[in-house]
Amino acid sequence: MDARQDTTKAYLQSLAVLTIAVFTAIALASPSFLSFNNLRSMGFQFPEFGLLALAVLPTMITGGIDLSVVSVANLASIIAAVILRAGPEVAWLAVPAALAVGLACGAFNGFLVAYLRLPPILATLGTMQLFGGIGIIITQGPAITGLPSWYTAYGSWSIGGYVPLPLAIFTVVALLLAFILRRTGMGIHARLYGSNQVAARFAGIREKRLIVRVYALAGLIAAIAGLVVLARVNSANADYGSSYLLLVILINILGGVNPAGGFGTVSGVVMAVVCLQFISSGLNILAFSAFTRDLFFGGLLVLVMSVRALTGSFSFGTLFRRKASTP
Amino acid sequence: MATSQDNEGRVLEMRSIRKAYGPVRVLENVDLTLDRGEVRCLAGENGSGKSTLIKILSGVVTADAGSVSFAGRTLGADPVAAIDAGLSVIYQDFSLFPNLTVWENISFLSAVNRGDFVHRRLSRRGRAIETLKRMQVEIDPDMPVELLPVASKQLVAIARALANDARVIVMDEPTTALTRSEVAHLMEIVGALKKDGVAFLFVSHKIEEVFAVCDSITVLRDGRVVVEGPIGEFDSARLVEAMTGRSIDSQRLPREDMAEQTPFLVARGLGRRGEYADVDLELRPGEIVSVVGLLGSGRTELALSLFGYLAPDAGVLEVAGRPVSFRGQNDAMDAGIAYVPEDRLTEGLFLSQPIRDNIVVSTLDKNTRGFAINAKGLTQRAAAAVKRLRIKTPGVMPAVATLSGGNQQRVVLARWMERSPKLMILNGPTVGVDVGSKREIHELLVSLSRSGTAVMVVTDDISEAIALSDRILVMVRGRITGSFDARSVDEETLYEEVIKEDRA
Repeated sequence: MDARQDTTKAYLQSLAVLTIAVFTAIALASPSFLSFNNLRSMGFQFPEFGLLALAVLPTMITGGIDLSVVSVANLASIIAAVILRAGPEVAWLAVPAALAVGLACGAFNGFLVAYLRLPPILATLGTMQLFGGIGIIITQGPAITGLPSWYTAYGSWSIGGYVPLPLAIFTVVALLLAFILRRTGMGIHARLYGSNQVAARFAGIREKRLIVRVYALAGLIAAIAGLVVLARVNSANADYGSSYLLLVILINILGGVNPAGGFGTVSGVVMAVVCLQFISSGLNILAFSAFTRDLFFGGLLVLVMSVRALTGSFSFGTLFRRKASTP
Repeated sequence: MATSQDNEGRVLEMRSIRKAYGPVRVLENVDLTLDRGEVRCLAGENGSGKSTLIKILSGVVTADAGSVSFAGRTLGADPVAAIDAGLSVIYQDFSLFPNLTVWENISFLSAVNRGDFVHRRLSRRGRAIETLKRMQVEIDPDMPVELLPVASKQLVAIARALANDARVIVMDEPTTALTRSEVAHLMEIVGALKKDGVAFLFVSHKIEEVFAVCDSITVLRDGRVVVEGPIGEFDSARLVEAMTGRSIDSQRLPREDMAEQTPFLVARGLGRRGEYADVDLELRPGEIVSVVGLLGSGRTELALSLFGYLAPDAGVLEVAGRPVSFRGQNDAMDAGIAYVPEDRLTEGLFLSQPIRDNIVVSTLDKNTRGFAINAKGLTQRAAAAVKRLRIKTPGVMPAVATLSGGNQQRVVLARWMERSPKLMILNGPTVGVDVGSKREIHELLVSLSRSGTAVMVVTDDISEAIALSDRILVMVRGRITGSFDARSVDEETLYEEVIKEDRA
């Protein structure tokens, strides 16, 4: 019997308090944290892993996970880079092609999970290698550089000089994803499916279609992240951001997503992303060594998980098996 | 052989137990005693405080006031001490290790192993076999527990308790998953162990079996003991009245007769290898048909096939005059068929999710315009359903897990009624539902059928079938062996019919 309770609201409130506390503490310690330049540079930094975190969110709500998001982002950015370099007459294809690649990769993940019934963690671990491998074959190893300057200019462009474009894209994606999760049949079904797969079948939720769509959505968002990275870094690389994967999953945990499925909100993930960015920038400004960042992130995440485990029911067990067979 | 009134042989005494969760008083001055060899029933509706009392007894929950003592020794809230004192609680899921064998399950409990540094396989296995023998049960000790039928798992759980030197065995809803003949077998074993001085406490709300085996009864209602005494002082009417606080007759529900209509669903020679065969069935609007059979008779598989969840491999199925072959449950749903599954908790409900979403999950389209769902519309629709079905809840957003069994079942019913189905199939509609709610659910189904829905009920509860149905079909070993008019058939006849081949 599944007696998990929804503690999301209370948790989100404490996460908001934590984020504000971190922000205030750093701002008091170092007023330069509040400088326009610092705030803007944060706006360029976090959207790429923020988007990756949003990509994983819908899959975790269904009780699954997508470990291939970073590989999908890289593959999408490599495809875009190849097309951009092919010449100005086909360059307009770069963005749609990258998004289509993301969608296709995600749908393939969904196919493995829904039709072949592979455990999501293993299916996407496999495709993580597969998509990364395809990327390396295309690039032959080194990064693809020499992109047209009009594209990379977007990576450092701010709307009206104030709002960094990556931040704007992150915001739009977050709002759209929140809408999908809260206000469409797919979003509501994904949450219910995540809380009880057997009941979902008996309630007539079209399980296979749902899962393919959820993973395709994850792939699409990952591809957007890839395009943002491409513009900012000015090159496409098959093994860019390999450290992002664990960070992105832990952001979801910190954001109140239950890895067993059934719970998770965009607002939680956004707050978790912002909170970690504050800590990261704060450490930087307060002249801590860059090596302390992992220490702080890791400590915070272990602390949050411990508190959640002590206060609510929170389990990782379901990540490693299919729930359907063990009601 | 101890008599039940022997004070020397008192093995368990709970005095003036009180417990409150926040402002909610769960238990108020509850007394409970057990003597050597006594079998007592702890009866009460869902939410009456039975589970909390058991948790206090087993030391998992601390009482606010009162004392628990085993054989004269007072214990605090300490589960290990309670086990050492000879208490064993068998929960509904039995808490067995499915991947281990029968003997491993029986002999692996910590108290059995105490002092063993080395795993002494032979002596443990021997002890397990000895225990099974003492119970006169024939189960292969080397069989993995997951391969056993439910009834045998229960016996293994009892054997484990005995191997652990249990002197008080508490069983929570011991017969929910058992068929009648299995219950009878269980009761024989209980009778035998009782002669050895083992005391039992049954937590149950199935009334008939209470009378078969218990020496005494304690009835809880709203956290208080409303009545307590030897079994001789009760009849079933008095017991129901004590549990519910109102009198309920278990007679057939009144209804108007309907003119016979053309069948909505017709099955001819329907079969599925190894599960059921040659099933002819006609389900008409305005009629309630019960399919009564034991566990494993193929009743559930038949119901699942009509819902498109399983595919039959022989025969024809016609819906509204046209032959159909469902590729899945969605095809059946599109044809107007609804199915309330057997196990509410694992198959029926999204326990951790809001009541609202549990009700509207299969009808989100009703509030969808373009891509977007109108959340307010969902809430209004769910609130209307809650009101119509009289589901007791402060709102539609709490998790459905917070409701009692009867109210949870109404949530599942509400989900399907939102679809206005032409055929509603219910598998064990009142399992784990208290007596009062049971009656109300039955009334609900009668009015659903009288409004023109075909209703099929799959059950092993014969009195439910009689109270509820117009027509009763008996299923034995995958075949429909008899058809009865519910107005004229009596329980004995049906019972004989149901167990006919089971005995042979």
